[in-house]
Amino acid sequence: MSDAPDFGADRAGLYVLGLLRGEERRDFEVACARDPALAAEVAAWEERLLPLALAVPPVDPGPAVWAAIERATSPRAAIPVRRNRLREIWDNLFVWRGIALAGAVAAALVLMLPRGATGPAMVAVLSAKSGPVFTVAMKTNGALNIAPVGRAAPPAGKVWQLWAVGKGEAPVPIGFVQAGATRLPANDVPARLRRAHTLIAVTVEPPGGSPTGKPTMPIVFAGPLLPVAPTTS
Amino acid sequence: MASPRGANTMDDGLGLLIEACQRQDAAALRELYRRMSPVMLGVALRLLRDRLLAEDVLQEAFLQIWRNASRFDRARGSARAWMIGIVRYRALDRLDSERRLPVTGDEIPDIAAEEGIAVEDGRALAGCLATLPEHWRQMVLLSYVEGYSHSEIAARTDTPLGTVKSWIVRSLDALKRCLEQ
Repeated sequence: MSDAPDFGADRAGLYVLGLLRGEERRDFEVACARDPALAAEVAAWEERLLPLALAVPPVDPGPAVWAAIERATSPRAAIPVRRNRLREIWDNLFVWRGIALAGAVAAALVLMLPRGATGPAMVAVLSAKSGPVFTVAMKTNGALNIAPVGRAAPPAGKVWQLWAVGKGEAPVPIGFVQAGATRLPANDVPARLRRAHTLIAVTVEPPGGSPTGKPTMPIVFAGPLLPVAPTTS
Repeated sequence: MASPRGANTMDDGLGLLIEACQRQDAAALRELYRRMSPVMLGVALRLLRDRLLAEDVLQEAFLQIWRNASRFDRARGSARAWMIGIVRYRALDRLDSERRLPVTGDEIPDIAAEEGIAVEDGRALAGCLATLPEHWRQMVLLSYVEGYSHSEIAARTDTPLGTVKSWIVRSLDALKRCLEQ
């Protein structure tokens, strides 16, 4: 049979149709965030198919929906991080799937690092599904050394913002990652988050970082902090 | 609220409202909601077939619109496409994570019949869809409107999976050519 389709042909079209699922879709979204031409193809397909969406019979939402939106966007409201959002981060498949790999690479990294008081206390490997992107070494005082594994850069006009995420906690912004090596000063990572299994995550944000103080985009790569020396606790 | 500037007729001022949301204008968000929420809920409900889930997704979508208003770029696409995109991808996220409710054969919704309805600038797409073989068109609609996966379409239409994938890729190609004419 010669009808094997060339899926490279129009991934953007398949994405907009909704035919990329799960991991495949998230990978495509990461690719889009890095590739303006691909994002433009997606926008073109969204425009082409839009009349079909507008042809679907409209349905009036119940009043509770707007009430909830208004509560969440009111400047007076203490902005509670929605549990869903936290769960999303912790349930993010690619993050957890990456951890097995990250653990192996981190273990290799540990072997290459100097031991002793000047060495790092924790390491993390920030991975996308395609593989490790950055290595992170953290001293006990929270100072971070972040080094690229290969060549990578945030999408044009965007920055990579770094977050520390404790289990069940809102992500805390801890700085920005450059395309090359990055050093972040001590104490940018709150002491309570300088521990094993804190997730170090990166999202693509507008220059200056997320205006809300919370990630506005899905994680593009991440990895958990792992202790360099076996912990006694 | 300020009256919309006359220049923007393409999207009935929706773009201006999104830009006002960038400046944390809550009244603009309310107006966007008033105008777009029924269409967006319709789309989400069609994909999810569950009212509670669909309303949840609608709520998430509007919070995303509020927070990410600065990402809207009218040079890239229309305000409507941007908003519909947000609710569709949110709904597809849910389709990924929730087990989809089984739909029996006679419930296969046929919005092909509706494609000719008076939709602004929709005539070109309707005309191009009409040039596709019946089976191809049905598969485009089952995926985009109903949220069916490749394998669900294969099962639903009793067509081998490879054929489904191939027909959809060819449909996209044919639609693109037709719309570019």
